[in-house]
Formats: sequence, C-alpha cells, structure tokens
Amino acid sequence: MTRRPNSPLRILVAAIVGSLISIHSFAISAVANAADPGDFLGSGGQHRVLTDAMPPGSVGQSRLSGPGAVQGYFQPVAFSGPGNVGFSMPESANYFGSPNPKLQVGLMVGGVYRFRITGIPGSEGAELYPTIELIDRIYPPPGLATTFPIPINLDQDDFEAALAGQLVTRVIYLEDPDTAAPLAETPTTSRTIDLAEYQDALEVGDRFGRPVAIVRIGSVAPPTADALMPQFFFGYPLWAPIYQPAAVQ
Amino acid sequence: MMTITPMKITLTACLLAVMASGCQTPMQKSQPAAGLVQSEPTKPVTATANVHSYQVAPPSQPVTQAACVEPVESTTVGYSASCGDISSTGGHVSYEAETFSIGDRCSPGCGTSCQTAAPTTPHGYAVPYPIHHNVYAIDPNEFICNGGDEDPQAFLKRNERLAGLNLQDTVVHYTTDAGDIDIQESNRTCIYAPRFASVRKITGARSGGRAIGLAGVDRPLGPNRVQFDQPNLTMTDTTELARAEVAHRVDAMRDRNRGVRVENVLQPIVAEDVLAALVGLSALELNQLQENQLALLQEAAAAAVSWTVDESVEVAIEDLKAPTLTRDQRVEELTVYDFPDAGRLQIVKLADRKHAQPGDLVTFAIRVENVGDSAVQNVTLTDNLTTRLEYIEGSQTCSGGAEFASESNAGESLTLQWKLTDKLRVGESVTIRFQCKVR
Repeated sequence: MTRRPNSPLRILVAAIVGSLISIHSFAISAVANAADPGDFLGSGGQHRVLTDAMPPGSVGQSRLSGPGAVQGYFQPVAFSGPGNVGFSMPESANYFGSPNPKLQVGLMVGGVYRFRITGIPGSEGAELYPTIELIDRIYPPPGLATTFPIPINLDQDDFEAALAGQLVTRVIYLEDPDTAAPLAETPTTSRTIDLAEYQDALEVGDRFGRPVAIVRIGSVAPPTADALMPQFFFGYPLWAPIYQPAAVQ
Repeated sequence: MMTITPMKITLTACLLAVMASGCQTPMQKSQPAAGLVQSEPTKPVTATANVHSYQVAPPSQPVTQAACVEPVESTTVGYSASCGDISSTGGHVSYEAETFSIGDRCSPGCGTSCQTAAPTTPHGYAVPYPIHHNVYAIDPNEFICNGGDEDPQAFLKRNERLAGLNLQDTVVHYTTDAGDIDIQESNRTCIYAPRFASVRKITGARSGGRAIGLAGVDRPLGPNRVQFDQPNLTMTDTTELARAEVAHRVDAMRDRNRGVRVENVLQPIVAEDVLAALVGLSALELNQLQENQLALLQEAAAAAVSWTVDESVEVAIEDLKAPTLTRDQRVEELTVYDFPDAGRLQIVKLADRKHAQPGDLVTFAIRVENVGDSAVQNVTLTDNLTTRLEYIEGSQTCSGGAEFASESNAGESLTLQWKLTDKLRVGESVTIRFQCKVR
C-alpha cells in the first residue's frame, strides 16, 4: 500500500469538502435553533393593555382619552331579543321604565349602563340586570344616527347561561367589510362567535373588526339597601331616550 | 499565587466603572487645561449675565457628551451653526444662556449618532410627529364600496379571462379598430351600510359544576348581598341621586330625534321608483352633463363620496389628433394615411341608495358609452361584487344585446359579466341595471 504525497490539488479538495461539511452542520444547527413548534401564535413579546376581564368601565374610560369625537356623544343603541323579551332602562333612582322589545336609547362612550330584561321565554317572571359598556362609537352620515344604531342582539343562550349563574360577556364589534362573513344578516340578527374561557373576547373582537360595546349578563340582582343603588347603577350615567317614529299614513 | 484583597476588588470595580462610562472620557481628555485651571468646566455658562432656568447643564456638574450635543463658545448666542437645521423649528429664538444645541442635522464631527427622525423644539427635545386619527370622523369600515379597479389592476389573459380582478372592481374591456385591447375602470360607488357582529364568552361554573347546584344555593340566600353590605359605610354618598335630575333635561332630545325619523320616512317614497329616478338623468340618457343635475349625479354616483376627495364621476376628454399626412417628393403621387383615433369607453356606475341596512336591496346602474372616435367591439363589462353584496337572480337588464354570465368569486359572491353582442359605435351606449341585496 502506497501513500500518495499531499499534492496542492488534494489540499484544495480537502478544504472544499471541509467547508461544505461545516456549512452543512451550520444549517443543521440553524434548524435546531428555529422557533419551538409548541410555541405557536406567540404574543411577540407583547401583551394587551385592555382585556375583557377588566372591571366594567375601564375599557370605555380609556377610550375617552383617545382620539376622535367620542366625548359627549349619545350613540344610539338598539336592543333586540327572542320573542317578547322586554328591555328597560333606569328612569329614576331605583325605577326601571316599561319593558320595550325594541328599545333604542342613546348612550355615551365610557359609561356603564345597567338595564333590565324581562319576559324571557321559558323563564317568565325572571329578571336579569345586565350592563352595557360603550367603548366606541360609529360615524354615520348626518341624520342617520338613529337609523343605524349599534344593535345589541341577545339570544336565548345568553339568558339561559345567565339564569344558571354564569357570566356572559359579549363584545359587539363593527365588521370589517373586507373580511366580513358572507352570511345574509338583518339588523336584528347578528353572527355570534362563541369563545373558550381562556380566550379574550376583546382581543378576538379586535381581530375581526372594531369593538364598540361590551355587554355583561350575569345573575346579579339589585341590592336591598338604597345606599348601594348608585354603585349598582354605576353612578347613573347620562343617557337619552329615543322614541320610535309614529306610523305615517 | 495571587491573593485577592478588598483593595484589589475596589480597584477593579473602579476600573470597570471608568470603562463603562466611556462617553465621558473623551470629553475629559479634550479639556485637560480647563479641567486643571478651572475647577468648573462650564464656567463660561455662568459668565453670562442672564441665566435662564432652562439651561441645559448645571454649572456645578461636569459636562457629559451625548449624541449631537456640542459645546458652544461662551460668546455664541443661540445655536451653533455646525449642528442643526434649527431655523425651521424655531431656531430664530435666541437664548442667551443656551450653550448646547441639539439639532436634527449635525456636523460630521457628530458621527453617525445624529437625530434624524423627529423635529426638535427650541429646547432641543424631540417631539413626536402629530398623528391624526380619523380626522374627518369617518370610518371606511362602515361603508360598502363597489366599482373602480384597485391594485393590482385588472388585465386580460390569453384565454380572455380577467386577472387581477379584486373584489369591488368594475371594469370593461374592449377591442378597438386597431386591434388593441383596452381596459377601463368605472367610478367607485360607496354605500353606508355598517354591519355588526359579536363574540361571546360564557364563564362560570361548568356543566358538571352546575349539576352540583352551588349556584342555585348561592343565589336565593345571597352571599352576594353579604358582600354588598360590607362596603356600606363607604357608599353613603347620596349626591348621585342629583344626577337623576339632570336626566330630565334629556327630554329635549325627543323632538330632535323625531325630526330625524320623519325625514327618513319620506326618503323611501322618493327612491321607490328607482329606475325612473335614474332614467331622469340626462347624463345617463343623453350623456349631457347639465349643471342643474350635477349635484344629483354626484350624489348618486358617489353615494358617500364626501369622505374621500379623489372619487367622482370621471369625464374623459380626449384631444383630437390631426390625421397624419405623408407626402412624397413628387407631386403627382400623394399618399394619405388616415389613422383614426381609437375608440374609448366611458363607464359610469350609479347606486340608487346612499345607505342601506343589512337585508335591503340596492339597484346599480352602469352606463357604458363610446366617447372615442371609432367603433369598438368585443365589449365586456365585468363587475366583481364584494362579499356583502348578493346579486338578486334575474334582476339584470341591459339596454343592448348582451350575453350575461355569472360565476362565484373569492368573496363568496358573484362576478357578473356582460358581453355585448354588437359593436359599440361612436356615441352609442348601453345601460345595465341589476339589483343586489346587502348582506
């Protein structure tokens, strides 16, 4: 067996092979340093300032310091529900108005409003006292504010869950028309996406559009002590009644 | 063997501290004489008679060199000429005690650490650019727009299919006498039609926990009420009741809202005969733009065009080219080539409503007219409907002969296409109408 001397050509070939092996090993190490597959949909090192678990009023109050003409504007809101569910707003300290299945009121951004739900199908006699927190407004053309209110469409699942002692958090958002769902809707029907408990409703709503209101439906009842009423009504924020137009012959 | 004593540790820490504060070291080296002769390096600052409270460096502290901060001679008033384009940001204001200048453009001596992003105040502090959120109080997401040709622009492939046709696009393509295939987009029509949806999260006891019935026990006995009574001492503020009196002022809102509703009730009566309203426009029938119908036409065309500036009915004005005359040297041979200008189409899209609720019907009218100098053929009008517009089957009409076809598009809606069977001669036009339901 003869051993050939190290010619310059062999040295060059050895150098090229060595560099290729080193590049290959670097590629392997680069793959090993890639993102962990279990770390899907990372937060990017950020967290949201506002969540749906914040106390009522926090999100709306933070919106007041933001841009836009949101202060002092009565944003029309229209309630609707299944059957003859009646909605009523507090008209004095401890007194709710008459139930109206098509209640429409003007609410202010930042305020937390307690309203009453009666006439729930299957649970007649039961009353619910949810809250609605307006966190943004919409910008209709002049004269069309009451024609295009923010719809608060509640369904039977909301009532049943609330009567069972659960808390229903609804975030109503303005859909982005570019990513809107191709479903036929009417003003009293709106698509609802049910979330898991670990998801943030405000974040998901923000992903699909622009959140404008948060409705929290629980089973809390009015307190017996009158002194606690202001707390129950969140300080009686100002609201404006909107009356349905009379029939035109 | 090396022993570590506390003294050595102290010396090492001092050395590291000096190395860490490297930005100060060159400054101290650059002023060795001043540091030796004068105990206060910034003494010239205090030499000025009028010392304001906004001077940059306190006289008693050594000067630290930061990015784009350059010392100025004590006789200099205002900002140094070598560091900063200050004139645009209030540099004419003179501050006698200002001894340092921070500009957004520095001398080469500053190196690469110059500030170039934000403008500076007279004091040298960077301020962020003003950010205008929703200046016109308009949210484009509340509108459904249709028409136009968004990027990427539509083009025709070899198999005579359109590519680059986005949702909302409305284009017409045609073949001129010269054999060229041109594409013309329509104007953009926007309708105010916000749509809302919601996400819901139900928290609390799970289904198994509900069977145990803890919630049912809790509610009538009212542990919550026990909790309510606890902050009773702090909730004695009864001034909140006074706010309820303010609510009575809101009654003044009643008349205003009623007025709005009555006005809206009248509107559908006017717009009920939609086709007749659009037929009455001379711009639609005769292509004559009358001044008294200008406002009506713009209103119908743009529907909500007021929120953008660059959208309006476009009128194409074409200059006339003289026919090319090629003359030979010899008089007896005269050859004249006449190249007529290509045909050109004008496409106008109108909507009969400015706003619509989900479920309402909207009638669109598209008028295509040959405003060029020669006839065009193979005229094909394509309207790609956006997701929230649903074509009403069988509602389309065309004033001329056309083959209508539709196919589903990426937005779960339809792409409507009309192929005119005849040539479109100069001055001729067709009007296409169809209805859509707002989803």
